[in-house]
Amino acid sequence: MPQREDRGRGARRLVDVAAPVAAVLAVLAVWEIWVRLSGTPVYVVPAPSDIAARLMDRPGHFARHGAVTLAEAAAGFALGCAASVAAATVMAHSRAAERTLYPLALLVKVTPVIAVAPLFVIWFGFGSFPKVLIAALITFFPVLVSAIAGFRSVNSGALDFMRSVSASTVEIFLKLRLPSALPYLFAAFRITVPLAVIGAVVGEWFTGDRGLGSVIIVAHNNIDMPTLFAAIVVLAAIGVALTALTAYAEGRTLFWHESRQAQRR
Amino acid sequence: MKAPPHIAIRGLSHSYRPGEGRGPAVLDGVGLSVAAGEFVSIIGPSGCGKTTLLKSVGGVITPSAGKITIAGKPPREAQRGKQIGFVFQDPCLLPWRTVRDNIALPLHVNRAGRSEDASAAVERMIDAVGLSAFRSFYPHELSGGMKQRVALARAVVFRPAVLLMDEPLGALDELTRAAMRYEVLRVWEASPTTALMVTHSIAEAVSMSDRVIVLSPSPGRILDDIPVDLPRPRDDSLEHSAQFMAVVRRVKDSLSAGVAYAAARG
Repeated sequence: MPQREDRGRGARRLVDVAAPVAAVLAVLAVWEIWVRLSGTPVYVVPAPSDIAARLMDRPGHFARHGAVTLAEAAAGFALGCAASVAAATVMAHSRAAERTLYPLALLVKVTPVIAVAPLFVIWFGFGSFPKVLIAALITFFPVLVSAIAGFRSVNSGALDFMRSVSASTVEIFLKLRLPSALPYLFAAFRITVPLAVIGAVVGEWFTGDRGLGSVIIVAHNNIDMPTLFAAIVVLAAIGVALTALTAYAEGRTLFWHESRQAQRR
Repeated sequence: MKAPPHIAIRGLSHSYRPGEGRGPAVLDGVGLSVAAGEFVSIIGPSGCGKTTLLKSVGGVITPSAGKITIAGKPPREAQRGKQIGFVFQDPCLLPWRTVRDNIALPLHVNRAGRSEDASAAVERMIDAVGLSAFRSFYPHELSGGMKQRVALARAVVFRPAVLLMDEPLGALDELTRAAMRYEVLRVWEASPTTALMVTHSIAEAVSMSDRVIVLSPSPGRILDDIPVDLPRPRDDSLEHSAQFMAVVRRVKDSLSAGVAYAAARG
């Protein structure tokens, strides 16, 4: 009975969406009621309705600053990925290069980015560039490690076949290593996409008057809690949207991977 | 006057990990000649170096000692001339490519295929291995037997002079395996190449080959070279003939003699 099966699947999908939405609404309701009943002042914890009112009040303001943060995070993510995939390509092909460069990458990784942020501001000024750089730095290491592992974890039989038809190193890389590494890269993207947003926000804390990070700092100095919470809500929305986008891209790209087929069943 | 051998192997020895002192030898002075168009099987117990032998001929690994030529040229040169088609025990298909694109893969390497000829060759191969209805399927949507047919098509689509098969049917279930023997033979007959196959199955070796080479337990040496004078084209009715049984028995005796000899040698 294909029809009944379809209906069953549709109903399941509805539950999949409805259940988490209901959970969020329940939390908001409890929060609202608690704030009102306890009479908690708005400068300590604003009610969800206060936050919503602030968002509705100045939608352009939050959209503009949100767009700045989003652009910085995206640019940083792209830059970090490009740099790490390039470095991983070299390291995956040469053990000598790996031995030389990997400790350097590890040093970058173990240095807290927050500690370097003020330095970047001094070097690169008050514009977007230092924020992009911080986001890129945060993205770099997890993608590097995954890319190296991915480029190396190639089916040995497929590699033998490529060699038996005299494929060049470049052809083996493009036709075999790069696609084989995609599952590893997407696993890293899931971690680094939210990290890139964190990097951009941290950068904005230190300098400049653009982006949700600076909105948060200003609101904090003015004890303007509704604005502060509204900025957090926008940041959370950006995080959700980016995570969903990554998951969508992963599903489209890795349709052939075991993890997808397990899910389908 | 005899024609020069298509594949000539002389004094082939190999041991892995040569850097760390000499590891145990897996092959010891193997010499073998295969004539053009011949189908030769290599059979022997596990670990006797069959796969190493095949990979050396295919130029995938470089043996410690010995000389291999394919039509008078070393294996690496034969690779560059697209002379070598390789089938492995696992199909080793690229999971992100469809049946068609997997078969076309060797034609995309080194820009070997001129586009129109190449795609026609790919379409012909898809039909030849009976996957016409599955050309745009992905490997995860295929059965084990279908995947191995794709691997076979991928190995011969560029018309190599030599077809090397490393237990090509080893990963299949018994029923599929028995039927696939004759499918492989039909593909081989349609594009007469010189075939060298490694197998564990005596029935497979005898039913498919012109000659069966028996290797000793490790380190592998050639114990016997058994001709199979059965008519071609072959099909599964062959497996009930007395002639077939006789050759099977000879191979079996030869294999057990090798095992007994190795046991006595300690």
